[in-house]
Order: sequence, then C-alpha cells, then structure tokens
Amino acid sequence: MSAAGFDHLTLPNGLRLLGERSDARSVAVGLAFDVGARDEGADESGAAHFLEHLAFKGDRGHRADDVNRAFDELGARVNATTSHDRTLFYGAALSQLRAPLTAQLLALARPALRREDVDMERRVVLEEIGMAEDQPEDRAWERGARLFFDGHPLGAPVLGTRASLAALDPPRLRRFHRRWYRSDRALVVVAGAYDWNEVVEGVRAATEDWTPGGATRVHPGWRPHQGAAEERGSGFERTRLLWFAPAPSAQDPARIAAALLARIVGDDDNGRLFWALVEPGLVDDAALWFDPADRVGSFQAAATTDDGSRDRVVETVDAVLSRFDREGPTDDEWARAQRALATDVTLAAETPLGRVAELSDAWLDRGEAETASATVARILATPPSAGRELLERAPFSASFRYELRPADVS
Amino acid sequence: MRTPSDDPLATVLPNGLRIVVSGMPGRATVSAHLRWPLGTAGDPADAQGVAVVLHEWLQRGAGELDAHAYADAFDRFGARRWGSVGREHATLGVACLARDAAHVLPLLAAAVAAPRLEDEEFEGARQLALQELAAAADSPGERLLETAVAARYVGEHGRSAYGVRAHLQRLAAAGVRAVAPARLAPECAVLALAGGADAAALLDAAAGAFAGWRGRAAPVPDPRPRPRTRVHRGGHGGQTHVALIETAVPPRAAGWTEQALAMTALAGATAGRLWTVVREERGLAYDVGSAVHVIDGDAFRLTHAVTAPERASEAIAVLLDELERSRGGLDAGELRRAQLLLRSSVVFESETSGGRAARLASDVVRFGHPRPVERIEAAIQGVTLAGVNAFLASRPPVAATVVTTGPSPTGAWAA
Repeated sequence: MSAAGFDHLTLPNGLRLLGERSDARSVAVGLAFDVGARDEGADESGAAHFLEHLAFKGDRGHRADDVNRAFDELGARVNATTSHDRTLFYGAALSQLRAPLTAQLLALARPALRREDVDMERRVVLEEIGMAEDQPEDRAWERGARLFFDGHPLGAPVLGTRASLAALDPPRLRRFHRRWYRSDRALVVVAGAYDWNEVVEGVRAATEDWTPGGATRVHPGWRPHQGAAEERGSGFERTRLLWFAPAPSAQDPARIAAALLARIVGDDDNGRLFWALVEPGLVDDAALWFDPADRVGSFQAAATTDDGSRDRVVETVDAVLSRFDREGPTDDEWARAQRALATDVTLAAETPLGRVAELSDAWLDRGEAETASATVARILATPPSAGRELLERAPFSASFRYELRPADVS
Repeated sequence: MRTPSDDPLATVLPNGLRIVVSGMPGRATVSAHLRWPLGTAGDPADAQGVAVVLHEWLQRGAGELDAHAYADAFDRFGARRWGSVGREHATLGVACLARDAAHVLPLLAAAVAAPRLEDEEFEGARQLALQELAAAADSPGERLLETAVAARYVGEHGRSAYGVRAHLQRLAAAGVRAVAPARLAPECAVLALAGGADAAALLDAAAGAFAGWRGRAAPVPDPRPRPRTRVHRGGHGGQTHVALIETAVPPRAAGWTEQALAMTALAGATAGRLWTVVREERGLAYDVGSAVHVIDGDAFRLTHAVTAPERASEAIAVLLDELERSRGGLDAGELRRAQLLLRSSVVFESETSGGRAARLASDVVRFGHPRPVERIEAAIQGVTLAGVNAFLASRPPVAATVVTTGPSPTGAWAA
C-alpha cells in the first residue's frame, strides 16, 4: 500500500478506509464496493445496477422516503454509479455534517429488498433502459462493446436487459448481494475536513456486524475483436461510429502514457481527430479516450455524422490512426498534452467530491493513492519515449470499428 | 471604476465590458467566463444560425495566430477552453493554472476583439453548425427542449438555438463577417474571473487584455411569452418526453429566493416532491425534474418527465397535481431541508474556480451585480416559513403549456 500523505486503515473484517484531508468547507464521502456488471452470472445481468437503485429503498427499519429525507436533512448531494468494475455511493455535505453523512451512506449497504420495492424500482430501471434504447449513442456503445469484448464480461450491459430484469426477483438479488456486498469488498473514502479518529470509530461502529465473504473476481482470458461490424437501426437519422482498441489496464504503469496518447489523438479541442473531422465540419463531435479497467484497458473513440459523409469519416480516421502508429507523437504534442492533462487533474481535485471516485479507483485497483500534485508531477515526468513504446505494443490501428447506421439509407 | 475592495472586485471598462473577480486564496487554478449577447434570438430573420457559425468561426484563429497556432497557444499553458451559444447569449471560457492567467487572458480576449474570420475557416464552421443542428434533431432530450422553448415564446426567442437548415446552407463568409462587429461587442458583456491569484492583479490583467475590444451591440428584442397552449411534436423512439411550462418569478423581482427554496423542495431534494410521487410511489419515470430557466430576463418553470406513451397521460396528471399542490405551501421540515440543501449547493459551487466564475457572470447579468457567497447564504437563511408560504399562496393557479415529443401519449393527453 502506497499512500504518502493519506490516512488509511483496514479493519479486522477487511473493510478498508482511506482519507485525504483538506481545509474545504465541504466534505465528501464515498462507499465503494468492488463489484460491478462484470461480476454478474448469466442469470444476474443488471443485478449490480439494480441493487444500486434498491440501496436507496431502505433497510429493514426504514423506507425510501426515510432514506431520502435523512440525506436532505444533511443538505447532502448524494448519488451512486455502477460500472463494470464497481459500485460507488457518494455524497458531499458541509464538513460539520461528515459523521451523519458517513453513517447514512453506510446504511445503504443493507437494503431490505422488499418485494414491493423491487417491483416498483424495476419499473424505474425499465424506464431507464427505455431511455437508453431511444439514444442511438447508448445503443451503439452497448452493441459495440459487446462485440469488441467478445465474451469477456466487460462486454455485458450494465443496465441488463428487459428480460434479465424480469428474472431478478428478491431471492436472486439477495444471493448476489450476499456474495459481493461484504466487508472485504468495501472501501470508505473521506475527503475534506475530518477528524480521522472520529471517522474510524464511526465506520467501525456502523460496520461491526459486516463480515468478509471471500468472493473474488474472475479474469478470463480475452482476445480483442478486430475488424469492423455494421448494424442498422431505426429511430434515428445519423450514423454512429465507434472504435475500440486494446490499451493498458488500471494496474499498468503505462497508463499515464496511454492517457497522454489518447489526448494527443482525441482531445475534443485540439487533438488530431478534431482537426481531421470537426474542424472541416465532417462530424459534430469526435473524441478518443483511454478507459483503464481492472486488468483490462481499452482506447475508445466516437464520431457521429450524416450517413452521406460516413465513408469519408471512416477513411479519415483510419488514416489518422495509421499515421499516428507510424510516426508517433511529436515532442511538442507530448509537452502540450502533459500540460493539459496536468490542468485537468488539478481542476478535478478542486473539490472533495471530485476526489472520491479517483481515490476509490486507485485504492481498489492498485492499493495506492497519491495527491493531485503527485499525479501532476508524474504526468510531467513521463517522457515521449513512453508513448512511442506503448504504441509499438498497442497500436491504434489494431482497432475494431462498430457502426450503427440508420435503416432507411442504402 | 472599482467598487470598494470587498470580495468580489468589479469594474466597468470604458468600452462597456463589466469585469468581476473573486479571489480564492490557495486555489491552484484560475477560471475565466466571458458571456455576451450573441444568440440566435438576435439573428436576422432570414439568417437564423449566424450566431452559431460566428461563435465557431471566431475560435478559429485570432490576432497573429491562425487556427492551429491559436489552439496550440492555449495548449502550451495547459489551458482548457470551452464555449457555448444559444438563443440569448454566447460564452467562452478558459481554465488554467493561476500562474499562467496573465498569459492566457489575452488569448481569450483576442477571440472577440481580434478574430481573424478567414475565408478558409468559414466553410468548416458552417458545416459544423449544420452537423450540430442535425445532431440536435437526433437527440430526444434536445428535441423536447427546442419544442418547449418554441412553445413558450412568440417570435425571436422561440427560435431554434441551432439555427435553420436552409438559412445555414446559404450563409456566406462575407455576410457573416459584415454582421460580426455588432454581434461581438463589449457592451452588455460580462467577464467573470475566479481563482487562486491576487484579485486586484487579476482584474488589472483582464482590464489590460480586453481594453482594445471595440464595438456597439445591436439591440435584441424583448422576449414575448406565448399564451398557454398544447403542443405535440411527433418523432421516432419508444418513449414520450413531457414538458410543462409556466411563467416564473424573474431574478430581480420579489420572491426569487422564496421561489428557489420552493423549487428545491419540489425537485432539488432527494426526497423532493416530484421524485417521491413520480419515481418512488409510482415508478412512472426514470428521468423527472423541474427547473427555472431565465432567458433575457423572462423566467419560466420547465417540469419534465420521460416515460412510456401509455403512461404519459398519468405522468402529466401527476405532475400538474403536484405543481398545483405546491401552492399550498411547505411544512417547516421541508423549508429547513431546502435551506440547508440550497446553502450547501452554493458552497459546493463556490469551491471550484469554474463554478464560482460562472456564478459571478450569471449574477451580474441577472441581478446587475455580483453576490458574495456569504450574502447568498444569508438571503437563503433569512426566508421564514410564513414568507415562503405567502409567496406560494400568491402564485396564480397552475396553467401550464403542455408539450410532448416522440410517440403521442395515449389517453387524456393524446395529441
């Protein structure tokens, strides 16, 4: 564990705590569980995301309205996210309310999973799936990722499907919850003004009956899909183009070089794709970014265009990526990307809430945490040669292209 | 002319630009937020979308720098840029490390004071505006907002924020260049800065950078709200998008803070009334919300939900009931929670240089002056239960314009 400048502790039941102190007026607390859509079995698709919703329906002694009102009594901004890798409940409040905020977030981990709550919330999640189905971008991402990850659980839809939701009844959800929502999969992150002893004692008291479950994530072998796939759909008029390529994982030391390469190619303001596609008005937006997941990483790019410009967009992106593979970044591009990434890291660290997700990922993925200024120093110290070496083992042109085109064009 | 040296500092340049600065000791960054009246509501009737093209074009090279060199110049300081344009106004923003602010501000100023507006950059800007128009038409959420605003206003303010396709197609560089001086004017513009630099030094740097900006703004007509109506705009997709629109209290009128608290109790809280009745009790929608929008001084409340067509009429009825019920007032617990939530959100927003700069710019436009965070908090805390309930009781009965997009609702609100 590497965490200079941080408070950290592992309780006897395996629950981890991490704190980063600042003098902000607000405090942010995150409760992360190292479980996500990639950990779902074939008959559990959508369970992690559904449980994130159901956490706010209350434990055995409380109803949804009690939970919501308790957060409001703290003036807290509260939300939750579920990804393939993990589930994060987080909130921010004025710093003097840190103890009750932490207690309320911890209470989310013990939902009663009453049948009436499950049935009602399933309707809400089905509406969420309906919204995603109406968004061509969401449809394209789901289909493209499923094909690129080709059997790897990172290709599973986080929301699940209408059919899988229907099968997620309280017993099945309890089984999934019992397996994964355990102390040894949990991390509490606190950022802002706090008293560490108070944090530790508060968490210890609230979680003394939590027990480890010993569940471990499966990391199947995976061969990235290459080539191209095209599908047609209705309900939209523009063509969505996505590119996926293998990249360093969250644990890979090359991840900073990967982030810099992605910025040089895909920055939406001054990246190579911007000048090739957005500046001439071929697309309304184009970006490429680096998505480091647990043990598996990918570069992902997206562009949307009118179907008549589709061929030109594809040829242009292919040319940009091939040339970048051949020539690599210039030293000037590299230096500019370093400065821009350093500013982004500094801006994101301005609030305690901005730190919670970053620290949760770093601690759960790598067992390490570093201050924003240490990250900035690391970015500025990464030489261009690191980018060129990475391009040799993970070229952009070894990508998979997915496109979702409107059905009513030839 | 500077205000007394309290926080924030403010000045008005001889060219009319208002500058406000809030120092944030200890912050590593500075953010700048420039806002001026360039929007499609001010476009010629037969050239709707000029504002969008001009906003894009002016970012493609300024002063001595061509498009590439201009973008690279920001990058060399690691400065992050953003911008937007709508019906009412345009923005350009930048965030950078505090030590670089004095170098970055002249770059930002050059976009409005000395844009190159070169012929070879025009076609790309025009094509991009067409792409954005098409992208908006393909987005269910954007279609709802466009339809809702068109239902709210007669005339200029009811126009699309993206322009009109046929007008964009026939725009030429010379025509857009000809209107640029009147659309890029410091008069009525606001520059807000916040971050970890000495506020007085930052104000001086900004004043120096923008001193050479010249131009007189063309007048923009006042918004003309439309009487209550019912609009349905069909379209593809599986879900119906619903918007209810009513007149709200504008920023400078009595009741603005009371309205903000009532809106927090209605839709800003986790246990807010809309969330509870639509999501928790009925599972009618995943996406439901309500917010007050202000366009050129006119305020309206837009309440929205996204649901299946067969449940849309029920959703509309539930939303209308809840809006009407809110006239009956809050209880003491709701007000207490709303006050803490609103105060907390003001604090959260003020903790980032970007959030604080955007708030300052908005305050100057809406209230005529910047508001220190402490003063906003005090105004929120000073509202009594009797005061907020008297305000709510004084509101007229709900008579909302109902807008639906996508598949028509079945039942009572069928198109």
